Amino acid sequence: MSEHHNQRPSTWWGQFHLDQGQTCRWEIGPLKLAIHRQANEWQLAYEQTEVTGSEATEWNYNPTAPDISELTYKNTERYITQQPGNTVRVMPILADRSIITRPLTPLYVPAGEKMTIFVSSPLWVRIEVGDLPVKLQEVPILRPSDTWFGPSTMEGELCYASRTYARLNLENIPKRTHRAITQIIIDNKGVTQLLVERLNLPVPYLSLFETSDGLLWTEAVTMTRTRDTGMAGFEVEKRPPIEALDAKLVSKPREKPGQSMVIRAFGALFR
Amino acid sequence: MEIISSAFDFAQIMSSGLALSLLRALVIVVIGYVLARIASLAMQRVFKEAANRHHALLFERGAYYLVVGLFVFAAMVELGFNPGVLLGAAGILTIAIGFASQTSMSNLISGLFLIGEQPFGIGDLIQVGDTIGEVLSIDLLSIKLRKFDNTYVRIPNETLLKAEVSTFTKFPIRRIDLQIGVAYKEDIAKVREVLQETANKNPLCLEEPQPLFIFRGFGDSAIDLQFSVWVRREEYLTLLNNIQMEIKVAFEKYGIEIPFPHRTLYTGSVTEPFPVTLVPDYIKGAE
Repeated sequence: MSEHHNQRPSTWWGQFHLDQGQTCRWEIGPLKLAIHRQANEWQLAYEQTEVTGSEATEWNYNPTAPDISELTYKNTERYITQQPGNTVRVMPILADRSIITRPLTPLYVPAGEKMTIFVSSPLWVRIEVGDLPVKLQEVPILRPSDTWFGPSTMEGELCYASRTYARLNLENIPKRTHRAITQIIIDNKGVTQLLVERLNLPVPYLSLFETSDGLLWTEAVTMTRTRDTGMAGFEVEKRPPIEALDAKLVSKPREKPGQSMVIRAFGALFR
Repeated sequence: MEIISSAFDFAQIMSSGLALSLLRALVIVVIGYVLARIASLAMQRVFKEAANRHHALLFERGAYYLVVGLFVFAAMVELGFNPGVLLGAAGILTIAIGFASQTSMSNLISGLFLIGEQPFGIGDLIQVGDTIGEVLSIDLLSIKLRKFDNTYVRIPNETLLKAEVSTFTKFPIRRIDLQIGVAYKEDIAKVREVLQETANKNPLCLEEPQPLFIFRGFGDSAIDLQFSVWVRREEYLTLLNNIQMEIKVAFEKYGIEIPFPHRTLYTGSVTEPFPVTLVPDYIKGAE
């Protein structure tokens, strides 16, 4: 993790120093975020802008922003803490629920075959301050839509719906610093062919890694379908795939993955 | 002299069988009490994790009273009561009590069924008749609700067993059905598109199950549509408010009209238009 002073840092995340009365501003994709420090007090202001076609706006960091009181962001919050220290840690973190992604068109995986697919997941920003440090807030860079994943309206899991599609080639995944890329290997060991219409990626079990080109990756995962259902064995590799060779760990998973997990991974549309 | 005589009486009683059986009966009752406590504690331990609080309580009490009852009965037999007569007396007493406490018994038994059936639990949001509230407790005779205006409502179990009870918090997601009327001149395909886009834009509105669009029919003054969106139950009220406001804004933006009731006057035959004459105020005043 890099430590930043007042020059433009190489990534939007990391450890920053704020003097008393100073306001720092970030623009991370659609998120506008400002942090202001007072004696024993931190102030946050943030808002997510409307997403248009130019969602591809990268990030910006401005350590000499106007005072936070001049900003008219939708959310403003004040945190009172006795924690000493002028550091603020702004870290990317994956969602607290699974992410549902669709391929651009439904895909069939024949019995006994493997397929590699890439998905990009939305990120949250975790803000921690002080030497201890104390967590202030987690702000979604772009609040994804809620969705339901399960066989019926009575049984299932509440998830987030990804706004982007799962892709077969890494080149087709938009390279954005405010999303994380995951490589998923789907191994169909069932007898019937598998239709991948919606794919459930349990991101709370994944960590984030950064590469030297400023992108974020998660570990590669393998989903093995052994029986002819939507369930699959879920296995988290140690590291991101070979495409992100120089990846360094940025944030740990929210939940510890189990030894042998079985998840509801594939879902057909239901009415 | 009196003291000697009473001492003599006491000795007589002591030597008789009565004292002995009294003592025995007492011992039986004490043992019964202790065993009942142990049984109830055992039940408590067995059902601590397995069942919910109400089942546990029910079994605990049941075991306690069963054991105590059996031992009291044994003690009475020990004292020389005829078990047949005792049972007969108990029967008559039961009928008498039964008549006297008909309502309570009915509620009690309904309560047992409710606990067995479990249509809702503590903390659930339910509707009974016109009352909507959060369940505070489920007891043997009644359940207690907290209405949204913070009124404490007691509903007898018998009512619950007979009435239709809706539980709003049984499943994690709920559907909001919006009844929307649009003017006859509107392009319904466009309206549908606008509604869908509004739903897509709101992150609380679930993407899957997809919003439902139903053409309900040709109404008196509007085309009646139903648009149903799914939401996580905690956000029901938030989305109910937001989505309707957003739909109104979107309709205004795209110029989609939500009509008021129309009345067309028609004079019956193939008709000329109604003759309309404007009467200036000063003429009316002159009359």
